[in-house]
Amino acid sequence: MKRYTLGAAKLRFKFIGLLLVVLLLAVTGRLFWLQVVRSNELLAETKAQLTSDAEKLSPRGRIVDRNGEELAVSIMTGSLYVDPEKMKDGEENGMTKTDRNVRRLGADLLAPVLQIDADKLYAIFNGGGRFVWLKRTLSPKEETQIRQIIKDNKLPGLYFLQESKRYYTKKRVAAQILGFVGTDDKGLSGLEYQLDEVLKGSKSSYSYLKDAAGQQLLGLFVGGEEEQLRQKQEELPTVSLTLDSKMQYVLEDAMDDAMARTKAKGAAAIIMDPYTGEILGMASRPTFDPNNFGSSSADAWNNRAISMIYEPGSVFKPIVGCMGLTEGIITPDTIFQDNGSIRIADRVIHNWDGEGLGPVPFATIIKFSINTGMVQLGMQLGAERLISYAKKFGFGEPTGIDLPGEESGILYNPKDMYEPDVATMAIGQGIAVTPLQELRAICAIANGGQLVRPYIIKKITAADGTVLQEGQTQVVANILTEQVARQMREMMEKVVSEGGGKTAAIKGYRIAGKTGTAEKLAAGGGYASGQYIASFVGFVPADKPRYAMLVMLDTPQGAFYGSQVSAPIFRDTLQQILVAKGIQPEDSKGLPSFEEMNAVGKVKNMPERPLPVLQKQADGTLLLPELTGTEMRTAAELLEQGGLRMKPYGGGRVWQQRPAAGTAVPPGSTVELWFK
Amino acid sequence: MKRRFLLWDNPRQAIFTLMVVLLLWGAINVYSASYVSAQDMVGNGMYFLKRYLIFAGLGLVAIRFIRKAGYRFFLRPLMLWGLFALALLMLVAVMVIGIMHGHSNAINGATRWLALGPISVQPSELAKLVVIMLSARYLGLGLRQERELAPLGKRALPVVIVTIVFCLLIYKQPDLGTAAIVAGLLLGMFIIAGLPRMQLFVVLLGGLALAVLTTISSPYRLERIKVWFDPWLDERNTGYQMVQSLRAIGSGGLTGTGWGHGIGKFFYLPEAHTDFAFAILCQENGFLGVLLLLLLFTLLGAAFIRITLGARNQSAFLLAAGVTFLIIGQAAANMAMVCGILPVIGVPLIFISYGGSSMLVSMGAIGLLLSVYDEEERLARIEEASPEQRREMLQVVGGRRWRS
Repeated sequence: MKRYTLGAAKLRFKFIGLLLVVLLLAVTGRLFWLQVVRSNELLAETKAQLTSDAEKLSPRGRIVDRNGEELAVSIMTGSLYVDPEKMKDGEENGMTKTDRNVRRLGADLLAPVLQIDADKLYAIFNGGGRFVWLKRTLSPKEETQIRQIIKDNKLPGLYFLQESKRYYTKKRVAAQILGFVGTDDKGLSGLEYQLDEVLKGSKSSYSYLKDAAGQQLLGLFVGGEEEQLRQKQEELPTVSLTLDSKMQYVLEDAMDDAMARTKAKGAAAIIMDPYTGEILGMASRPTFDPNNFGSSSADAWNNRAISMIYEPGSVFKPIVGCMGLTEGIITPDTIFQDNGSIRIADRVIHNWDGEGLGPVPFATIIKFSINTGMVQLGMQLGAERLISYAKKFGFGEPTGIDLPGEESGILYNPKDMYEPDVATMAIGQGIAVTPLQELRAICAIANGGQLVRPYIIKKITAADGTVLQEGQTQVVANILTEQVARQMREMMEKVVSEGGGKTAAIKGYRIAGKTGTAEKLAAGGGYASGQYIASFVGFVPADKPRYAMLVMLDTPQGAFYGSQVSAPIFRDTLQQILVAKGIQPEDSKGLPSFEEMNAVGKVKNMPERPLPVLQKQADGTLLLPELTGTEMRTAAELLEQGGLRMKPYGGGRVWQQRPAAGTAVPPGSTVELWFK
Repeated sequence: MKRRFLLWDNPRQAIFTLMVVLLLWGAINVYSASYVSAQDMVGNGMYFLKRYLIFAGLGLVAIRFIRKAGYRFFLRPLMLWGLFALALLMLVAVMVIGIMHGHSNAINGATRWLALGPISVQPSELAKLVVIMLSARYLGLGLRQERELAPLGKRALPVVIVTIVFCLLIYKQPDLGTAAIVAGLLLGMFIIAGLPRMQLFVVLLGGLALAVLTTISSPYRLERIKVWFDPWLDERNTGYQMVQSLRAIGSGGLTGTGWGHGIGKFFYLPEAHTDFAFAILCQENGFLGVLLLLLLFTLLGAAFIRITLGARNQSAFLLAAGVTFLIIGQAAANMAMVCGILPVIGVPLIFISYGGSSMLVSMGAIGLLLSVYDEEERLARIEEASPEQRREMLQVVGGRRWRS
């Protein structure tokens, strides 16, 4: 055939057509190889690049008060991290190659939102590695902004991980009780620490499908492994506390106020149900905001209500009194001779005012907190009985409350006690207690003789409603007879109605209580001069107590008597609570209206009659008034208002003073007064 | 002499049926492969599907228009050189734009498109068809005279020059793959038209030497060749697209993941809805599905070849052969490329890939091919008819060659 004919051309075309057929056959063979022979291998590779393993944290369990009000909650928030190796454009990231500097761009865009210096971010992006946190637990607003920036600019290599973030909804309220959580969802203090195992968000591994840019795909899958896509977020148990957040709030408010007024170093207050042992309110000062615990000193994290030990002073007297009553050494009517002071071995113990009332019944000893009478009783009881009763009342060992960091207090070994030690213990010195121990012992008097274990965890409920753990009233021991308890309640009621604790009285209610002003132990042993712990402990109503409360101020500046600084806090706090809880007064005479009640926190101790006044000079010094003829208590109150220290001699009314009236003295100086 | 073509009465019917089936399948595949990136790029998952359907419609209109005008109309010198001028103008425009923008905002680092209002045109697609049409006319004239084909003769030389100009312009874009295809098409046309064996040998040898020389002269190209044979060597970089393509194909298995369930399109596989759409099709339809697709293309190819071989006019024959290369050759090349037999060159798979210019040009080419068949059918009818009828018909047709 000739080469240049149409027929020849067609033959050549057929030949090329054959080559095409061969190519198609090769394609078929190749597809068979890929899709049948090597299919499983390639499918596995595809799945491997398609799935990512991740860990998911469930949000930490909630903490609520007794009425279900939230105190601590967790939400899942995004934490931003970068994979620096992926932070560049390129096909492997599903990005087309461009000339832009992704890292520079990302650093500049993210810096204002993250509030991290752009150059620092740029250094991180260039630092290599596969996983670097940029900022953890972002706020929802920050997260939205960042997601938008990533989307708008197609920034590769930036990812979010959902993490649990803790919020303390009421900020500083019950801060030391709740404690706080570190960034890894680890409870570091308080109940968060104590219940970390219960509350901690569980970690679960899961795998998800992602596109080439690392974004999670939903609803699409290879091989029907949909259930792996999303695992239901596990819900964690809720912890309900016995705390009543309304009471707690009143308490916190009163403590803030007291701290501002007295400039005390520290303080603690507890409200407890004397029958059940439930803690209804508990506050400690100094305090902090657990949302931002890092910015406070570690000292503020201590819960002084359970961890501070101190010598209780006169608030211990009712307990010693109960010992005497139980032992049958005394009755409320037993007469004691009060000479104003008493010598035990080499030591002389004075009444606080040095005054002697002569022969008085024991009820009066308690009412006016007479040291001489208490010392006589203490000496009759002796070291062995004092200590063994103190132990019965729960001193010397932790109360067993479900909070971490509780102290035991300190008790003498009775064999080591000299006579003066016995004498001082009867007036509440020479024994170290925690505020909670003291309140619990008083609760035994309030509830008719039972020593109960205080508790704060009401119950722990699983997500499905089953109760995992329930706090129950636990009577540790019956330590008093009903009769002894009643007798002591009556005596303590007299303290408030007629005696040294009048400042705690609430019109219309029967209140039992006891003041206490104890010398403070110095760090190096002995007592710190001029430093006192002012406390008040009591319960209301006196005959059928609903609430028992303790207020303790550590080293108040100025006024330092328990009756002056702590009792009013007791009164103001409980007044609000009683009205709020609808507890009817027994005697409606002179009862303030609800509105007045709400204002009570602001109303301060109003002087009942005109008093000499301290005049403040322009240079800050105080002009001393004429004090002659003034009662000791009035004078003390006045001087303390001015931040002056009183050094009293004798008893009765002032007849001489130094410096003289009209002298200007700086605050903090001592004024000597002679009484007769 | 009415001959049946397989299932169909004639190859034209076959082409139309196969074309409709492939267009429907292609629409499904383009939608599935593109909705993720379309959603991401323009916020509308239907974006590429809509444009695919518009271009398919325009293509069908083009086929009808071209058949009505007849292929001869398009092989007139004025028409041919007009089309050449258009293609040249657009290619130069692309180059000028490319230089102006310094390739900075280019897609895939190259400028291949020319934005004309809402659509972007790929001039190199038109260039392919212009080369085929020019070859058909001028090499066809030579073939009719049964003369030896001289590549540098007065008929062939303009075609060669045109092709070289096109190739250089396309190479500069840079799009080496398309330039090679344009050159390859010309070579194919020359081979069929009767390039002397010696010269063919020289061209092939020269090409081979050039390929080897450029390969060994740069270690980068050598690396590319290695990666072509084993893309896993550079899985995260130059081999990335191939690895992703092979994974997409392989993960489809025998029966595939089902329509819409392929995952290669989630930014894993670059060009998932264009050059590598075949990989998504493999993934979603499986080996059995792809066999069906190959069968459809084979049948389409058979119909093309039937028409080509039936052509009695030399230019018509060369035109039909060129169209066959363009459609079936590129289809086979694309499939071979996607599954890793050929190196990655930017060839779309007609009907299956999204690509407006390519689709419009390809369907126009099919129109030319069908027009060749129309002409043959007309001639066949005339031959079958009685002399009286024939006379009437001839007058209607008015073929100039019968007048002489």
